[in-house]
Amino acid sequence: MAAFQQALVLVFDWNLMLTILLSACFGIVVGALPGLTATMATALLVPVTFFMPPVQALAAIVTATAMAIFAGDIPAAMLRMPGTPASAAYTDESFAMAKKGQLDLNLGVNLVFSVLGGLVGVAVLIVSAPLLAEFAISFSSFEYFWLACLGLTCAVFIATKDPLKGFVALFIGLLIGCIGIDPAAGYPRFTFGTVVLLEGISFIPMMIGMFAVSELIRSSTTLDGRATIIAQKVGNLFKGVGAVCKKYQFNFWRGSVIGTVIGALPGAGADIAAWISYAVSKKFSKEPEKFGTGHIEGIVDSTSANNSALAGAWIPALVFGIPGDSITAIVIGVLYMKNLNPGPSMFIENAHIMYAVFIIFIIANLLMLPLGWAAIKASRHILSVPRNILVPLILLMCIVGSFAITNSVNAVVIMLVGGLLGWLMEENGFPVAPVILGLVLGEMLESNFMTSMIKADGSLMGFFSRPIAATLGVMTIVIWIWMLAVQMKPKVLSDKPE
Amino acid sequence: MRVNDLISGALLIILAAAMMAYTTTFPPFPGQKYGPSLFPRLLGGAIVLCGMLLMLRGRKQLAAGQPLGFIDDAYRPARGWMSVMMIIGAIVFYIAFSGTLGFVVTAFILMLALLLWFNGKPLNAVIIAIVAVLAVDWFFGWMFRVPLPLGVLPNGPANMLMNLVRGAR
Amino acid sequence: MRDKTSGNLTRRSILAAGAGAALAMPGIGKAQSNWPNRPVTFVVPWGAGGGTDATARVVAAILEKEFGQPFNVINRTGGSGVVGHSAIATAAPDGYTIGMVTVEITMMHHQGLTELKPTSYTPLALMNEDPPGVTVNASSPYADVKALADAIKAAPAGRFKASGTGQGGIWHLALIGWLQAMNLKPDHVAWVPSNGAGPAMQDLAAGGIDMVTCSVPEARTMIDAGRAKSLAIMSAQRNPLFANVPTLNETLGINYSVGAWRGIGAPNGLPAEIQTRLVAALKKAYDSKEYQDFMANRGFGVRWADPAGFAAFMAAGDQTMGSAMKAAGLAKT
Repeated sequence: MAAFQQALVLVFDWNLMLTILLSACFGIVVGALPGLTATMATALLVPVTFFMPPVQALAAIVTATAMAIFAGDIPAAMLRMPGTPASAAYTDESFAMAKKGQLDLNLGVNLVFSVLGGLVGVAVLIVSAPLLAEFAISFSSFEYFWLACLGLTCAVFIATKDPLKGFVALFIGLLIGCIGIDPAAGYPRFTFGTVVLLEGISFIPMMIGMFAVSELIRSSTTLDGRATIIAQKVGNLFKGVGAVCKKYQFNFWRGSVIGTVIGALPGAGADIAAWISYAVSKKFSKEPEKFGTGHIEGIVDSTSANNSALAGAWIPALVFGIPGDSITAIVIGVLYMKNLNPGPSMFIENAHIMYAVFIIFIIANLLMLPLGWAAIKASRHILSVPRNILVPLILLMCIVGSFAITNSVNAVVIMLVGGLLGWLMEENGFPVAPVILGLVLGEMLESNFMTSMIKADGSLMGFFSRPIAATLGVMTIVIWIWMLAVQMKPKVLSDKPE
Repeated sequence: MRVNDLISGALLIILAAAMMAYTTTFPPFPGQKYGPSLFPRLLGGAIVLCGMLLMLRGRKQLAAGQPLGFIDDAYRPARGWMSVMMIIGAIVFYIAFSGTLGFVVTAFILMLALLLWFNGKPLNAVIIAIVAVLAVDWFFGWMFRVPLPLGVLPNGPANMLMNLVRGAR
Repeated sequence: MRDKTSGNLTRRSILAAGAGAALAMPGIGKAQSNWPNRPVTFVVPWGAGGGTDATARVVAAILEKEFGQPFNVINRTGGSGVVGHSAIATAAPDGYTIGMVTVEITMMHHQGLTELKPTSYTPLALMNEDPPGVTVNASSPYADVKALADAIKAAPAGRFKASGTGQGGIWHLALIGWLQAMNLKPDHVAWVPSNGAGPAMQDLAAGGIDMVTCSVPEARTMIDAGRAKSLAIMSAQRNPLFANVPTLNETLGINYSVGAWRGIGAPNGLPAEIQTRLVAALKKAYDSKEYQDFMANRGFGVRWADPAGFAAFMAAGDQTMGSAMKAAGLAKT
């Protein structure tokens, strides 16, 4: 307990509180702008934290990233422009709600469940970090391969109307992901001999293009000289959230747990957590037909999941020094800089710092409620800007945001191609979300597939040679067979009249 | 622009075939049994399968009297098409000129053109374009250290401002 | 902190420079004399969070203090380092773009991945070098590197699996060199390509592979966590931070060493005046307590070379790598 008291002294210091407040504002702004991700916020904080004591440095990172992941939901709902990749999974759903006039409810739910999901993640981090880390570290390429397969299966659940077109979109995403140096042999694929394509297709500009630019193209046709204002205003955010809490309590717990576990797996972060929990939500929903039309249920799952994943990612980082996501990869560097070497001994030698980080996690999540509310209220002014001024402004943000990812104009080209492709695809009933999912999971799938093939000397049995891998593999195959069976059934019926 | 599934299916098959043809130029993986062509080929097979299913479906749609392709009403009026072209053109303009002109100049021209087209009021357009470009330059370029191209203004407005502040200190 | 007169002077001169640049547009020639008067881009060819990135950020922070202008660390990743390296080489040689050049520059062109060579850069300084090690799972039956070497010799080719980086990467060459020194074929131990040392160590801890040949600091957290043990280090001396890890020479009598190194370079054609100022600042950064402490804490090796020394070091490394890769069948013929 002495360590806990020491931690309290460390945390409740006005200097630290000021740091938390400033990083929170920083995080919200970063999260709400396209192209500035939570990872980038962390990287930008590194030179600042260089001159800070350890707890202050960690507080800045913890707070900024938590805020950023939530803030990404705001432009996603208002403008169909996901602020960070973690919001991509439910951008369409949120935007559909906003178009239906439920922007208030959507943002309220996003805020409240981001806070609650974050708190669950922290609770798991505090209670069972070593235990969960033990589980996460036992994953080898075989397990990751099956995990990626399960993740891809989500595409079918996400594609609402037409699973076949969903698959096509997913494969296009995977194909785009093949461009560049291949993950195993280091051979440049589909580059047509250019250096530009060597770095591959960066998925954030692609995401900005497919969601935001395609929406700009579509909506520009209805813009004329008159100043039209989007009719909605942001009113009482919390109206109706209570009812949602009651109705979808189970979804919240499920999303948070899935989020924490996926966050804890090295290499899978908040974005993948959101995709998977959204798909799970639809799969087990009583009203799956409502998904995609502006239905709150899947959002409860996934917005809880991405914030809980954030805390989950710290579990292997603190216990084994293995980053759970790209944010904690940087955090580990900061820990070393502060002479706090991650590992089990950290919980013993520097217990007071550990406790301090936990307390800061809780404070940051609680602080999200008022600050997130203020951010939403402040950004409602965006909606009162006439659309014919808003469209050029959003386009400028999209361009700069894409540029910021690779620091080159290539990303703007990717954004443009993504915008055109997304626009044509949606015109023809192909969903765009699976393309992004394919891009996110493509490398994980292929590199683990190749690694596993090499390790197993080409024997497919190798993929089932380890207990967890076998369980995941059997699970995946059962789901696939079941899906095929369901697909076949109505087809047989509809084919009959011919 | 909407096309029948017959066409999109055929396009997908052509794409997959071209891709698989390209994979034959990939060298084998020295010292390994499986090369860089394995995964794209598996993927190509899957796309061909999907393309064939789409074509089957498209044939049924044709039989049911659906056209091969048509253009949505929204894009019919000349202004609608032009608006789409303005958005695409603005991005192309940025790609082509930001390197030589620099971010500030390119973005200003781009914003001005779009605002004039969509909004029309010249004074409004100039003011909004200037404010927006300077705000973005300061925020992304200075605060977030994104190396926005400098072009013909090698010092950049935000940087000049910050140097002034520093000088004054 | 500055006194008033000099403050005014600076402001006036900057005002003048700014106005001059704005009026007479092609006034770039002026920029040299008062370099740096705007932020400098510091390109890192590897991702945020890795060892190269961390080293770069420390150096950049020190340079920033030194020159009073931001040194922005920009990660240009992808293409196994090709993209970032080419971003440095192809930038304007005006001193506003410098970057981290890593050992891969002596390797990639042999594989035919790029045209870039060590001579594509103005060398500034060598900052660090790390030798490879041999790391196995903590529950592995081999108590020392000799037992492991005997087991490898006795096993059929391809039975043992090793990892640490991509195919043909620096740690793969380390393995090949070691195998060749034991008179074994380069593929006697199968190489499992991975996306860097981190994922390889994770796979080692999960029991997916038999050994990892990355540097000891990269394996450190797993070793500290009791998940892995380091059997040997492939260098002439032991690492002071891991003093109980013997060298290959001590245990097997093999004197083989290749190391991963990191240096700072600029595009070719950098003005000599700027080069001199940068090198002086880098030397100061290298000698600083911050840098030395940081490197020591992480167990990274430090090694300094000035531009001439760095160029010679790279040229020698380039030759060694070329012949090693040819021998292993990894070089493009």
